[in-house]
Amino acid sequence: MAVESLPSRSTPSREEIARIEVGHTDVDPSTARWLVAVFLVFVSMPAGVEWMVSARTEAAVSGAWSQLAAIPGQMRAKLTRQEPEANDVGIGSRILLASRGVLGNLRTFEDTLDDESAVAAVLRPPAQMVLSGLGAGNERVYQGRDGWLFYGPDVEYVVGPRFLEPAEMRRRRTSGREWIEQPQPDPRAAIVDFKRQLERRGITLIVMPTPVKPAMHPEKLAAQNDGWTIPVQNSSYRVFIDDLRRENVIVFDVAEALALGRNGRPTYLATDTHWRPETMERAAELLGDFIRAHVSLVDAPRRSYRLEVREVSNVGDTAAMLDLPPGHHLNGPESIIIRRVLGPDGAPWQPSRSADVLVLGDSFSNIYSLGSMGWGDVAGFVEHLGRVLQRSVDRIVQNDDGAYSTRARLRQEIASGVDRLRGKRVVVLQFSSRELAAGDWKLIELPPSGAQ
Amino acid sequence: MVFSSPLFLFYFLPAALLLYYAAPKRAQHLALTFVSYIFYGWANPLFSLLLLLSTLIDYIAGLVMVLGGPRNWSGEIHRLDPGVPRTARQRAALVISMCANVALLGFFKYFNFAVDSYNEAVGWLGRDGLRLDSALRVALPLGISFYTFQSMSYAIDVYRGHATAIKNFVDFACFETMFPQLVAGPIIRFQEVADQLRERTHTLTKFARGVAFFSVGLAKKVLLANPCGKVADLAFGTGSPGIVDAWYGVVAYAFQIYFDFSGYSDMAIGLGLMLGFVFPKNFDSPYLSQSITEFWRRWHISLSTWLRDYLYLPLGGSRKGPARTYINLFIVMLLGGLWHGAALNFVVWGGLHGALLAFERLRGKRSPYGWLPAPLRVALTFAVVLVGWVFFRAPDLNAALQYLSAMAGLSQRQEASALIAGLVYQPYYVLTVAAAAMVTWSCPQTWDWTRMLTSPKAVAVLALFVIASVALMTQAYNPFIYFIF
Repeated sequence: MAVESLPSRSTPSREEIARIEVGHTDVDPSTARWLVAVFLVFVSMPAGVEWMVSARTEAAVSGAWSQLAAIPGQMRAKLTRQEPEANDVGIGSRILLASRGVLGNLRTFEDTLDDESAVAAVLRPPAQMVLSGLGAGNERVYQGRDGWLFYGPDVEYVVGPRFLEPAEMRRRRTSGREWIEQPQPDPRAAIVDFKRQLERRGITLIVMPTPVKPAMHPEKLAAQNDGWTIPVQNSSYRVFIDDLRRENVIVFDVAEALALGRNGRPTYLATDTHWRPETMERAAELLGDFIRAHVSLVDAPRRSYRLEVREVSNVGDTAAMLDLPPGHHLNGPESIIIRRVLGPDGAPWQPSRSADVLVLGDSFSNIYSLGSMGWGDVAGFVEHLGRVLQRSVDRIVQNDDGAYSTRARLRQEIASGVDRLRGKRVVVLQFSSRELAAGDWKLIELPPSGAQ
Repeated sequence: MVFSSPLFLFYFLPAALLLYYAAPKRAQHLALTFVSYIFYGWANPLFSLLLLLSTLIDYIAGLVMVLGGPRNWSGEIHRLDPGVPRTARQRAALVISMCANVALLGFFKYFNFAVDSYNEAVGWLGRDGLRLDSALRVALPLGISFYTFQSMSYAIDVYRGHATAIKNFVDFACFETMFPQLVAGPIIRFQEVADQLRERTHTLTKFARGVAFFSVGLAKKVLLANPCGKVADLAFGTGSPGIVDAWYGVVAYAFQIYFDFSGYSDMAIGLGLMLGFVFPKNFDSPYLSQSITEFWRRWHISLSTWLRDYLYLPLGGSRKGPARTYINLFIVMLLGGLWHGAALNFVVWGGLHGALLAFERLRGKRSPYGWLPAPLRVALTFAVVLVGWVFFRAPDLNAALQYLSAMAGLSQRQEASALIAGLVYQPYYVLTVAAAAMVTWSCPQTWDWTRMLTSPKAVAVLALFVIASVALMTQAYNPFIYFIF
């Protein structure tokens, strides 16, 4: 290859210009001293403060550093086949496993450091207060009108790309972190597969995508949506429903019915991700009617329930996510009326494993049922479904990851000898519709009945 | 690990500075290399091995070119004479270095693209049975586009006789891996820092200016780029926004990418100054350009000069007649687009700029609207750049064309896109975009603003640092855009 000749450089090079420029920096020595000193104090202080706080309280920050300390031992365990997953694989795979383990630890370390930082805990609320005053929200929460707050993934599901677009699914498939499995982005494949597995056991699947708040209250996001009565869904939603129905999957699409029944009243909590109790009860009534219309349930002794009215006040989950100072107007509790479902003897409603209806639900099923969510108990979706059907109902409910977590738990229980599908005639798969765009729709193979 | 993260700002940076300045002078490069490998390996430990491999290949190539076989490596290093023809061994060393770096870049960056393109092609031909769906998916190592270019520049400059090879492996590894510019540039050519690796000063003035650069860069990223990015994400996410939202979204993206990248460059320059290194300017107010030709003299200067010196000029530059000049410009920009991303929309972006550069060259490096007053020339150039940014930002070619239709008011607005109006026009985002515009077109550059550091300016620097750091605590993980390249 001939030596390329470049044009002669009669002008200074860029680096020479930069050096001359830096050489002309005009700063008083004392100014330079205190600027540098203060900067170094600023960058060193937070770590010092965190160390002092963790030393005094043995707080989670020390837990963060323990993630780093655990790395050498975990690497050794994977490389020397001491861990089960590393037993039957070659050195190349063990190196990959060890690397993934290290990555997972590093990310957990970083997340714990951020989440549990004492300095951030002090500084974040006032900073967020300033941002919220300008309508900013944060990475997880969008601020709407009239003090309404919206969970970020809910908004991004509604306004985002078509979740069934091949390019979008490909992007989701390849965007996972290296230390966890790639997500399976196509909900149709997982649902149709689940339906077929249930069918082989003589069980009918009813799929119930639950509308997210921005879908039901677009007018609380933008004024030009005032008067909007039809739920706003992601552009792929209709295709998703049609594709499922084409595969003979029974879909209970409750969104439009809930929107039509609004009569100008809010259907969702203002500062929480979830539906109001009256909306949830309405959904339970509609589902009950739907089940009766689509599934022949065997006759069972009718169960009667009575309702106990209770007022509950709580700060919504999206308000909590904003991490505002106490007393901020966006932080104020909301008050609602729940109706607890009690037996004739006053005993709280309980799920029954011998029931022929099983609900697999997420936080929309848990709210008003699980006391730790702060919105009361024994007044949730499955309780009211049981009241509407006047029969016992079984449930597996888990907040988050509605795309797969309840199916995974179902498999786990069957595999451990507890066949939650025995005697079931219908399974309702309830999940937040944002899972369609963000969830990991793993295909989960259920063990055969009676498997240990 | 990103510069704009509490982990880097409050743990890694003070520890790295302490280790560097506590080390004896002869061990400072070792200390810097050590912390740089920690910085890089944080993204994925295995990628560090790749970086080490690239470093070794070019180190050995440099020595072979200058000294021949290993038996001679104890000898003294001299710069090769530019006028002397090279031996077969020297040519082979250069070819091996280039092929190794291009192979690394090609495999890790373009393997998935090749598989996806192949699958699309067979799908289009109706031969779905030939798809490679179970093919390996390759993870993209952080910064590979940058450090491979940097490596190649070393080998080429040594070969050309423009730089003296380095014998000390630690010094060379320090050049290759120094964390301030490792993952997103500026692309540092060896000849730019060779002298500084041998001898450089560490002064309070330099450090103070470094603090100023770093703080301004952090503020650009956290206070301007990130919020503008939110607006852009919402606008582009809907696919088909209304016409006003579409223009607002792409303008926000233009600010996001500018402040993200120039902010990162400022931080890299600032960190370099803290460590005694002087890196050249990488952005020169590109949105003040009055033509696309001028834009490419002001935008990502380290890349454009690299492409000029190592691709455009070897292709013949402008020395082989006008037609060949236009072709060379087009090819270089096409490859420049491909460098940014393994997707057709980046190729289109590069091709668009290449075509515009060729067209302006035809007109004597003047834009077709050169007769207009300067402010209009700036506005029109910005509008042309905005059109290009649509291809850069959209997830694929179809989405880019759909977005451009929305900008022209030709597409049907999707119902969901009405929702984003309630989000992107919140005072916070409107004020941020306005501030970004003001900084872009009215404020001095970082190089100019930090030249004279008065006490009030020093206070302003520290205030920017504190405000940006506090704002960072309300933001989640916020990598730099150019990290994905």
